[in-house]
Amino acid sequence: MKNLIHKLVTVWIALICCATATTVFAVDQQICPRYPVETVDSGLGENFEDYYALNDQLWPYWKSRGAAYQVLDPDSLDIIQQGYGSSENGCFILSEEKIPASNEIMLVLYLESLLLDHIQVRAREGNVSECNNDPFANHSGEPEYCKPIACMGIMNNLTGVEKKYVDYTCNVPELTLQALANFPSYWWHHFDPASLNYDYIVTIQHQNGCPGNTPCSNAGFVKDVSYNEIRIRIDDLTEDKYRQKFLVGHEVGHSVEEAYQKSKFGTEVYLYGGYGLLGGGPDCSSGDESHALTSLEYTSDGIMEGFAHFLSSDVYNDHNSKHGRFTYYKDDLGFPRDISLEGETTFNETEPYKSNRFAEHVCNPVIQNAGTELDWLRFFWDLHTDSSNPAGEHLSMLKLRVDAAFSGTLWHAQNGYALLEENVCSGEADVQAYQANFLNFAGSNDALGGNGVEPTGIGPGCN
Amino acid sequence: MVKQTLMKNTQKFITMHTIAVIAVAVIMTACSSTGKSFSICQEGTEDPPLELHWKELPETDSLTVLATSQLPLILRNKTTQTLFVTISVAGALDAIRDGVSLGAVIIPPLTEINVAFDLSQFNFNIVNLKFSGRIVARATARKTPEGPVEHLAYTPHAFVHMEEDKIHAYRVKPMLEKFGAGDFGNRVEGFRQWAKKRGIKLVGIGHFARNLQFSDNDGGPMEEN
Repeated sequence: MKNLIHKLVTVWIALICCATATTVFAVDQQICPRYPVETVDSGLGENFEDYYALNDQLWPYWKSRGAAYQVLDPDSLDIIQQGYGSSENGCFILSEEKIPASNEIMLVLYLESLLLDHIQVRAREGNVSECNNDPFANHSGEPEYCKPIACMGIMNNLTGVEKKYVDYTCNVPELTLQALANFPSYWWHHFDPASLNYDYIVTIQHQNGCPGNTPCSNAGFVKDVSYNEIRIRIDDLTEDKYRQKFLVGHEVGHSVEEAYQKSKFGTEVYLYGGYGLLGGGPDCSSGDESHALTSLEYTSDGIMEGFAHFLSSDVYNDHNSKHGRFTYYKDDLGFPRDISLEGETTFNETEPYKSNRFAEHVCNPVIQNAGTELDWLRFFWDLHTDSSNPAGEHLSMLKLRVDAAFSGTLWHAQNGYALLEENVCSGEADVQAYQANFLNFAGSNDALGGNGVEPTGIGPGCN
Repeated sequence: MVKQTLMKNTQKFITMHTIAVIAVAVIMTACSSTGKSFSICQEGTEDPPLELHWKELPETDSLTVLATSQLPLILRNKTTQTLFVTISVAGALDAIRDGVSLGAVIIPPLTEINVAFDLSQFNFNIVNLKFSGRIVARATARKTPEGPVEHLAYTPHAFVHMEEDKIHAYRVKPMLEKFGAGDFGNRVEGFRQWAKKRGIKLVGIGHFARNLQFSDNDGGPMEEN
């Protein structure tokens, strides 16, 4: 009996040891895909703070946050696992028991991601169509627009505990665009700025955006589909537009505004003033564009474009730095593309674009309700980065800008500033919290950091 | 004199305003045709100030068989200033990621120059490629040799492989349409067929980089407080 008990104990100990050994040696694999990204507007200028600068001798590799993936058994072509990487770092876990005996897998990496469980960001080709938006569904026979884009790679180093970084095995413009659309979408929404309560899709295309396939980049809701989709198009006329992160960030910025407006006001109609160029002399022209950073425009347009410049700048710069940069993507204005987000308070006659209150200093005449995107960019940047601002400011910045367009009086070409001021004076509490800074930064007092965007000459003020 | 200037300025303003009104009308017509949810138009249409191209591969459908392993570049300075430009080439060659520095060149304003590059400069013999090699070159331009970076340019992506003792070099269209998204030797046709049957647009296939060493910091923005 004693012997039997001894034997049973020995067997149990052996079994426990066996199980423990299995647990100890079982190594799940953490796989972290990265996008190889080439940008032509990184690391420019002196004292730049712009992140994603020249940080790699070969390719800068960006986290593929929330990227869709599938793991295939290379022998059977069976799908072993599928899903989305983490929104934080793009990584996912492949448990050891799923790894084939050959220790080799084929990894399918999609140019498509799911961020924060409700925002899809994807690169697509072709003309808009109603789609099955599940990337893992079978899309054969569907229109080109509905076919997910992916690349595949062979992986066979699935041992050891260290993270396995893998690079997308494709180099096409759509890959760069996916990376450049994905990060700003994540950045703004992970602060829950829009309090979004609905799922939506951001589709980015390397395609001319204006009617008649004329070159331009833009962003807007897709009509006549049964889900919420905002399409961003980056013009494909030149080889380098798709490699400009500030340009793509600008368009993603518009999409953030649009997502918020849909969430709060239920409309997909984006309000804009109509791009009126208002003269102001040769230094306030648009360099043959329909509008530009320093062209004199009605305030509604200056606000609209300046706010998108600001959203893009916010993605790639540190609030606490005095060397924040926005790199402008129109080269024909006669000044460097590298723009300091902190304007100089003393007018710089040699390089006027470095100064606050550009319109007031440079444009002549400045008609009422006119301004420049540059002044508005700096105004919003100052407002957002001032250390006295309340927490949760991403959402309140959107409220300030977008609520002004949709509350009460209809936004039109000339009344942008008036509606913004009305909002900061009597809008929601977290918008009113900006009041003191708003009035200082909008005015023309250099000692208060004025950007001169208040267009009436009376001076900003709340009753 | 003041009156004349005023008159002149007024005329100028009226002219500018008229042009602006016409321009706005044209744009409004264009944009409104996209419907009630028309989007934001006109961001960026101009050429870049610095360009770097593969001389033998000018178009997206370019495909050439090289006589040697030379794959020269063209550097264009479209600015009105002399630029000091350093050039490097990066290659994804099966599981190897390799970079080659081509040194520095001085390029006068509004000119273009040829820059030599030889595929044999990679630490990888392209004879051994199992999938199309992916190559991109980068130019970094300064106004002075030690000054801040003024412009960056990349070439379009080029792809290479060896076939019948000849080096084939091509752009993205032949890579996708003629060379199996990089699987020029049909080594993984089964995977490509799998993707095709599922309606996936496959834009690249090959080996992942071997032993990429990164950290969680990818150089991008940190979370804000």
